[in-house]
Amino acid sequence: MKHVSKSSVLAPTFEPFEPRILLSTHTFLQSLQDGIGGVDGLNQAYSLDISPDGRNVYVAAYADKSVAVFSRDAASGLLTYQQVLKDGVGGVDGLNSASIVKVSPDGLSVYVTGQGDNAIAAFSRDTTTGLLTYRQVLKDGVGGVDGLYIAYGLAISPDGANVYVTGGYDNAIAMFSRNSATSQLSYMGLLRNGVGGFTPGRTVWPGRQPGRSECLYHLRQRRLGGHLLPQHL
Amino acid sequence: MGIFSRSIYSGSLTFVERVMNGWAGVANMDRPDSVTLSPDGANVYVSGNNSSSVVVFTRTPPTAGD
Repeated sequence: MKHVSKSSVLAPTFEPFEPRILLSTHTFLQSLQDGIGGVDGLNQAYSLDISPDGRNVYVAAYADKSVAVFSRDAASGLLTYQQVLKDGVGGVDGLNSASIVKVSPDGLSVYVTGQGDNAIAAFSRDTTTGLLTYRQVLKDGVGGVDGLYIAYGLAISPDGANVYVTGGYDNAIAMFSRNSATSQLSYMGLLRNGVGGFTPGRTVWPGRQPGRSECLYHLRQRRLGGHLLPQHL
Repeated sequence: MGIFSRSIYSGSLTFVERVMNGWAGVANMDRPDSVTLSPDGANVYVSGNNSSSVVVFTRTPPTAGD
């Protein structure tokens, strides 16, 4: 009897016909600059994210130590400056060397990592206006929180239940549970390089940072509790 | 900013075009650090670190051909 391997049956030999993409154009529409036309909070703009409803764009700025809010015209895509929140102003904390900004999948919260503060700052988002209200800062070494030394990378689970932050100099990923009603985070623990299944000698640093080694891990989120399981690639 | 098409079957990327600061009217996109798309796919937003800016593009959806 002829042997037919399972893989040869399942794996198609040829990719299905796929039309070639002939045209994709991107046309410059607008630029907004720090200090021009009343715009603030873009000095060394580092990262940005858009709300799930497409109504707002949020920008984290490294030198301004800030998060800036823009409203978006759905028809044109044009942005209008709305608000800036800066580290040390009005009680806001955790935005020193602001790096990565993310909007939660439910659109109710915005989170920003601050490398200089070794922190993550939490904001609630008004879904009507897009404006932000400062809620909380969690800092490395404060209140039992660990793994946020030079906090940089930031991810929110698709279900919005958890937030994960990489601490570049802690060689770690800190894990948080998220309260969607308050936008506040609770520290759950961390995964540190060389501990509990992480390979020693590598730096956990997704993203760009000159002079630092990079590696990639696939971290499988447990369905209960939001803890992570390392799986090496 | 490099723009690629993505195979929906294999996930492989094919270079389509590039958008560069100072070309074709593009301004204030010096050292772009971050990019995101609007949920409706109509716009692309880029942060410029050296230019301390946000740059907005309109996006024409890809056209399929043979």
